[in-house]
Amino acid sequence: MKRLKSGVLFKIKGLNIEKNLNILSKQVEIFDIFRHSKNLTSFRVGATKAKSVRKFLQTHNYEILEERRVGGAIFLRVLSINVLLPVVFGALLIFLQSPFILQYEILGGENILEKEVVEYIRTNFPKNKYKLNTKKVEGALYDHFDEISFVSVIVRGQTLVVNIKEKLLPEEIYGEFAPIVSDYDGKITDFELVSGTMAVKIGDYVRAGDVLVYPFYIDGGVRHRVLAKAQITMEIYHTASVQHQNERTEKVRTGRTSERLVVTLFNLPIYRNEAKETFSLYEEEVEIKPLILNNLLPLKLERTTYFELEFVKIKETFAEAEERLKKEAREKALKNLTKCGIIKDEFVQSSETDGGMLVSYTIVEEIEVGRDEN
Amino acid sequence: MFNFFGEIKKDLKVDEFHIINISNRILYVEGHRGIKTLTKSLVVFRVKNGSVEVEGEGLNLSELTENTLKISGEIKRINL
Repeated sequence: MKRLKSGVLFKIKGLNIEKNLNILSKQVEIFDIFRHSKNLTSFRVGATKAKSVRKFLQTHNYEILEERRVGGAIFLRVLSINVLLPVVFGALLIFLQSPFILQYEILGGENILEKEVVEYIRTNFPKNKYKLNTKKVEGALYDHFDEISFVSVIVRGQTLVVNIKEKLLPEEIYGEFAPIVSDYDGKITDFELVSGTMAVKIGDYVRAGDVLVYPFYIDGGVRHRVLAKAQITMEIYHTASVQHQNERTEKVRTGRTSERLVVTLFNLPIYRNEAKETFSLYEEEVEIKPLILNNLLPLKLERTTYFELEFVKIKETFAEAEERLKKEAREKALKNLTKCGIIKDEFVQSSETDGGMLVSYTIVEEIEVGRDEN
Repeated sequence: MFNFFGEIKKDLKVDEFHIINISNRILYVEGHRGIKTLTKSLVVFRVKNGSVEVEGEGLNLSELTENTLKISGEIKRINL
């Protein structure tokens, strides 16, 4: 490292300087000795030695013409050469390089070779990040690489970050690019589009078979195929009706019963006691229970009970039957619910028709539709 | 002040420095441009396009003018 030229400069007047410099050099290091003329000499010593040097010169009758501190300016000059110049040069280099993409970072690609993607971008797109259209890069990558299902490109500093999501499902499935179609009649209450283009909006009423999400998106006038994916919430309505009749015929049990007993072993009858009475109109209930509580001898008793029935005419006003009819209608409506919906609301309506009163029960169910495999 | 080599230089039109080492006891220099360092073991002086280091023991500055100098002592090495 270059020695910094700092210290105290003495300019003295006097003769026989050599002898006294030799004496002085035994005590302190002397630098930059110049003899300007026969009786005029200048030299420099360290700043800490200045006091003793001054005393020495005064003792030996030298006239001190000048005594000043030196080194600051030189220090700056040295600094400017060794530090400032590289800093300025480096800053200039960074400034000149900053518009260019120097690094490529490919994320998420497992089957696609990183090198291929980088090479494709390098070949087809400019390195100047201000001239690079990331949307175009995304579209080009998507079109060029069949394995890509989603790609995003951003410029971060001097790095081009490419985030790739590869297709997880077989190509055959992606090849369909089917739209999401509603399976029910209902109302769209919420949706979150993942990919594709929405064909409906919140509040729209749709019928079964209507398209909800198209399997493409349009960018810059160009249609890009994409898997239709969305989380769509819709309300569907399940309505069931029951007609009220003032007079109706119902089958009721008369109270007479008859019983048939069969004992089986390995499902083969070994004892049978037939029913003593037979009815023209009846319903039966069968009960099977083991006779012995082990599996070594699986003897079972099969008891069949026959209940005699008869037709009875029942007269009932609507007011009397209303609650029953509502219950029946609700049970019918509940049978139509999907497996994973949430009941949001239910209401009942009664209207007069030619045949009497009609009770309609409606259940509002909230369901989620759409693909969300990934 | 008259000096021998100065006269020759004038004739030859050479404007450089000259160093004469006499038995490693005395070093005579013409054409120096100031002493950079002066200690008992090291004397460094400037010449055209560089500097010269004189290492030794008990080095003394015997003579110093604007362009000549004489160093006496036990001279061990001279680095040009």
